[in-house]
Amino acid sequence: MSNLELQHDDVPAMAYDAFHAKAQAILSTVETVIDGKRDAVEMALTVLLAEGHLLIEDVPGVGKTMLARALARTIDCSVSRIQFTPDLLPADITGVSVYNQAERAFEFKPGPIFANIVIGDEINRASPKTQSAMLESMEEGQVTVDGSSYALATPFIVVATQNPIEMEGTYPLPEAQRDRFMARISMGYPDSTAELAMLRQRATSSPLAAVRPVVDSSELADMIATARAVYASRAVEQYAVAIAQATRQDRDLRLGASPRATLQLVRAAKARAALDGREFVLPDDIDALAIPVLGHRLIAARRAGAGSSVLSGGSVTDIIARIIADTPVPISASS
Amino acid sequence: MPETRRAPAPGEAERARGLDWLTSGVLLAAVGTSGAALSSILTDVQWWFVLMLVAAIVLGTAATVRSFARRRAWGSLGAALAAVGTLTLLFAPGSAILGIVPTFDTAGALRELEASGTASIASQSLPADADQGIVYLLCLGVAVICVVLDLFALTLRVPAFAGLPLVVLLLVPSLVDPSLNDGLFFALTAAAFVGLLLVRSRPASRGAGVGIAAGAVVIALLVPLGLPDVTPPDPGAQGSSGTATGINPILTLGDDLRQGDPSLALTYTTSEPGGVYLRLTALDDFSGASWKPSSTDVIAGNDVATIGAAPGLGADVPRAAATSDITVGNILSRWLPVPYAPTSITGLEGNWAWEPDALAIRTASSNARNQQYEVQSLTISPSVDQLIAAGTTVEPGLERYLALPDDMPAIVGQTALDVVGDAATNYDKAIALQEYFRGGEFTYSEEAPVENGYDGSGASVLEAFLKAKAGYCVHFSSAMASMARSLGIPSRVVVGFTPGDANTLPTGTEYRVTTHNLHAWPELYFAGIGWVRFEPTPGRGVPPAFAPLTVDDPTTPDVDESVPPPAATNAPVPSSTPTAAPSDVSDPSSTPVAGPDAPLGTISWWWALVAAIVALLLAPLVVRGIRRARRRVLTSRGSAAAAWDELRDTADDLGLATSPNRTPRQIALDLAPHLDDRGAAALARLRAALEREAFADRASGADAADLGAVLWSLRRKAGPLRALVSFIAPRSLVAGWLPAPSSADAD
Repeated sequence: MSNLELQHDDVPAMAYDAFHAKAQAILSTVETVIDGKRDAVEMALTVLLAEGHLLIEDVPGVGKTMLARALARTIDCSVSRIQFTPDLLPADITGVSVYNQAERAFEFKPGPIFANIVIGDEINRASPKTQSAMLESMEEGQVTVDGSSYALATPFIVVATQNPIEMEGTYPLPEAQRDRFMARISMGYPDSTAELAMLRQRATSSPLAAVRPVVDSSELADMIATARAVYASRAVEQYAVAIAQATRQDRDLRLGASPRATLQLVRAAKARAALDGREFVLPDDIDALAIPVLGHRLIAARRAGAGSSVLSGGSVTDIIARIIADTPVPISASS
Repeated sequence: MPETRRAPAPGEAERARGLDWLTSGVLLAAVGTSGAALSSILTDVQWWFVLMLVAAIVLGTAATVRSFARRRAWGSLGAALAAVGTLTLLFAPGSAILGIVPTFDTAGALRELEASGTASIASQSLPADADQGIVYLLCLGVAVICVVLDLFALTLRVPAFAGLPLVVLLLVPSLVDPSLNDGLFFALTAAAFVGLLLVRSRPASRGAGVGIAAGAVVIALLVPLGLPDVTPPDPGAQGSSGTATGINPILTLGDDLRQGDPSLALTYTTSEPGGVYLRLTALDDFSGASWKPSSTDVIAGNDVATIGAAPGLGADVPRAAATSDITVGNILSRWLPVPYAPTSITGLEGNWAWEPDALAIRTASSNARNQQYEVQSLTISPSVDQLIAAGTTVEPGLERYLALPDDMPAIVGQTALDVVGDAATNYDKAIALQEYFRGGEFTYSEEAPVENGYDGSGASVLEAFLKAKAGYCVHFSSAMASMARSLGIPSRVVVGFTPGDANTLPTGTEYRVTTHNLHAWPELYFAGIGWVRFEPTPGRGVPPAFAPLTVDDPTTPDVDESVPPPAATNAPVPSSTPTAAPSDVSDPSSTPVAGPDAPLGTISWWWALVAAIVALLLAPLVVRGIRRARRRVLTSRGSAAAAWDELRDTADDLGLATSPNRTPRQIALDLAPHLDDRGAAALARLRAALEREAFADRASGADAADLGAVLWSLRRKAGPLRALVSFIAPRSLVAGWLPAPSSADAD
């Protein structure tokens, strides 16, 4: 991640300059709330700019929800938050049709999913029925209630958090549903300096209250469009495909990366390149994103890691790292 | 997060260390199997264990040092020191400090050993006794090979090159004798080599490893075919000759005779008119597959100053003293060429002893080469009636001269009976046999069917010879001796030289004997007379002219032959005939110029081998240079990819990590510690150009000056030694076959 600041010598056009400036503004704003977690914040922003859904997985109390909320507050757009609980029903998410007696007709009351940014807290606490209602709308970009379809807002981004160790009363997401998230990141504990700084800051007030939006929703849509326009060469695409193929053939993996994963890997790489101020994707972008983008989609073969739970996937991370290290970087598209 | 995968996994260093030990073990096995191939030219097996001890100490020290040291090069240094220490301890502990730290005296002692080993190799025949000198030379060679193996396989991490020293060791027997190649040890060594490549390769490159190994096997099989035979050198000059060196000189006799250009074996002057037959040794044992000497022991105390009487020589047999001054050229032999029957030899260097039955003069440690000596001998001239008088008597104690192998073909005895007919005495029978061979029915041919082991003296060969009626002296002499034995006449085959060509010099008559004068002839024993030479080979040599039946005048010279028979006269000739000056013999101007096809001498052969190895070692430098030049041209045309390839290869050459699996940025980060500021800036520009060229939709050219700056900076930081090594032995040429070094090792 450190190379984000490394190179600005190859910034091409004004569009990327503006993009970069706004991205930096978002980053610095979020960092006032999340101390010492630049990597996680950048990854979250990358996913946001790639218009993907983000899954933040970590132990309680490291700031998952704080990150999601801070990110949402920097953008002047509609934000809703759903606290997932075992008794949450699909209608609580999508909304319901209620009978309007004055107009003598059913009227659709949109649920919290109708927002630009939806924060789903502890998503694995909801029942599978509710989860699937949420996840289907994530994929299709629309909600169907009583036979009528309602389009969701654009951009539409879900930032979900989940708890890896508090397994009691949770319903782990099936792999098909995990696949809908573009990336899964974890926060990790702050280092001692960051933790100390946090103590000072939080002594008086919540820093979240001070966060003011720095971009509006149309600017965000522009940024997303800019990120999509980043050039990915054939060589880079080949590299991404080679990694995906390798995950499917690896003996240590029971389930490899889906084509959707490859697609999202390249899309996220474009966003990362744009964040870096580049108009083209580098294999380094693919390398950096392979673990967040692929990690939650792959399932290790039973023998690969005795102690790895489905959620933590520690050994899967190692396997991806090995695959990246073993995959040749094509310097030209032919080789 | 992405950085974490570059950190070495826990236990990786441990695994690499284990791999190094395993590699050392495989190297030891390879040295063991290729060293075992020497068993085809050496007797016993003790020497092998000594070799393995040396190899184990050298490789073990290297592995131990390497497992502690931060730099791999320390392992090679340790190996070299261990090699010196081990050789000192084993061969010259007395002169060294604490037995292992060599001093100047040690160097002297080792040099003496080396000289004795060289002399031993030169004088011994196959299979040779591994005496201390030879074992020292072997240990020296193996120690050097182990150091080089370790250097290639572990320090420089180019295990594929380790095949080279192994092949050198494997080729030794083939160089000594091209007919010797032990497929078993070759296969075992090849297997060890494949094992080495497997150990040092990652799974992805194992196929390539097997490919190299297969290639190496093919090359090693083909290379000996293209090498010149080890044959005697410049004709006429005093080159070295492999002539008649062996325990059984008859083995190489055919080769020497067939050799295109004769080489000068020796020169002599003699008081005997017409020159003398010079005997090397007698082959009296025909119990096995072929004729061979029954004893090659050197009997201590049999000083050549006074040689015992000729066996069986009766008091009444006419004899005359003769004096011969012999100057031997560059022939390697443990037998001394002397006329029969020698009584005294003076002027020899080294320890020589006479053998009582054959009166052969043999040495254990010295060599006939370049000896200059004077032989007093008796020329024995029995009269025909004396020979006839011997009848068919066989004196007791001569039974072994009648022994024939069990598988003797019947045709030999049958032919003998047919030939002699009703001849009554042994002499008549012998003359009949000699006439049978010389009568015109048989033809002399050195090329006659030599396949299927015909080129020898064995029993089965005799059958083929008697049917083909063509052959050369070995066939004629062994056939006549065998037939004589079948008729009850004690016989043996003698190997030596015919008298040679007479040159009349102002100082007297000098005889020049070349390798084409090599000869074998039968000697038959007659009671009361002793051993008498016969000459069954047509066109070669001269049959002994025994004094006529009625004339018993020993002073009558036989003059009707262009080459007078050696036993024609016993008239004493003053032995004051001056000896040809040795300088005459070695004067190169007096020798014909070697043609282009002349076989190389042993010494120049080794130079050719060294030159070939040097050329082989320099080949990578040339190939790499061409590649570098091509890429520079491409870079100057703006190709960043070519510049990047060159950069990566140069880093590879220097032993720095540039895996193809790493992105340009990662490689740039890896190389950053090995660059100065200017180089780092140039590398950043080069990398940016490459990234744009490879991954952006608009390319921007690379700057050749940047490439130059980075390469220069890399080499400068690496140090002159490493830069030189990278120049001579560029790893990048074989990078595809080698495991990528981990970046952790490159610092």
